Amino acid sequence: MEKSFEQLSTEIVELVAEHLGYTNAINLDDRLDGVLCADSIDIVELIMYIEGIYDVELPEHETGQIKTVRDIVNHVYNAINQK
Amino acid sequence: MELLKNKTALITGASRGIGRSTALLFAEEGANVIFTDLRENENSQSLVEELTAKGVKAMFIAANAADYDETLTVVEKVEKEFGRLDVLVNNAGITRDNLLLRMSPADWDAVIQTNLRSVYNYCKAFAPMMMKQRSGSIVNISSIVAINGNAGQCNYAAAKAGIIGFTRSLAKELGSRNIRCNAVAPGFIETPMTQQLSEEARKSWMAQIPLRRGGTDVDVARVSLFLASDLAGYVTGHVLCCDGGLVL
Repeated sequence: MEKSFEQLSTEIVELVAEHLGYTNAINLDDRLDGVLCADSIDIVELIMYIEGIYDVELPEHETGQIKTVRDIVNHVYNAINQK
Repeated sequence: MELLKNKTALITGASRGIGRSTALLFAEEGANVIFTDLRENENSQSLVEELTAKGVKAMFIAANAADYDETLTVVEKVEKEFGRLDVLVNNAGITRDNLLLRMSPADWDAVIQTNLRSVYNYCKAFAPMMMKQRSGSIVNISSIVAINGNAGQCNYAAAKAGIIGFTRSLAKELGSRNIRCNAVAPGFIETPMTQQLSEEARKSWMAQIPLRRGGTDVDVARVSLFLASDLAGYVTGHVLCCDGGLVL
């Protein structure tokens, strides 16, 4: 079933918060390595986790450019729609 | 002691030599063993039998360690048959010795691909599984020539030195996930190749070794066992020389 960008955003915000251990709300434009305090290995692991949830594989050259939660949503959204 | 009881270990290039001894020792210590080599042959078949006779699960996978896509196939098979990987020993290696002035680009590339690229392939391919497990031990087989150098082995020494830098970097990357990454640097090990050296050459080597003997495959396997096991639970990014003191 196709998901809207908004639906996907809501889900991924929750997944990111859960995976990084935040109980308070996080925002789409939060930087992973900034306000969310994720180090590079956290980010790689987070992306692997989200890839697994949505059964997509993001190209490595794209994952290196992911800085914010919104970036993850964008890449996953595109990957789902290219399936 | 069963230092590896209920663990699953994969050893690349293990049909003979150091890899074979490592596989057998790991099995004696209770590990289920997967091993790879370029192709199936009598050695690989007999090793499966010897491992199975020790009461553990054993599997041989024919795969070129220098080929990343083949490595991904190995990951799939390990995941399907064993569901996890606790220990990875990157042992696959070749030599194409020659003085630099006579060393062809093909000989340079072959050694770098098989000895160094293979370490990248297996570590990269199995890291996600170990990260999910939140545990793992990687042992990369380097060489004393990475530290000392050796005339006629610019390609081999460069690849083995590359392994040391790789090992220390990966130890930093994966340490927070409880994945340890260490290297073993064997010295002069008695193999069919070294047994062909002239008596004079052997004497010259022995004179440089404080313990006055060449090492054996089992000497190296025991060091790998230590690093693979929980005995080395607080050791990562280390290069352990198994050389009778040759590097001193």
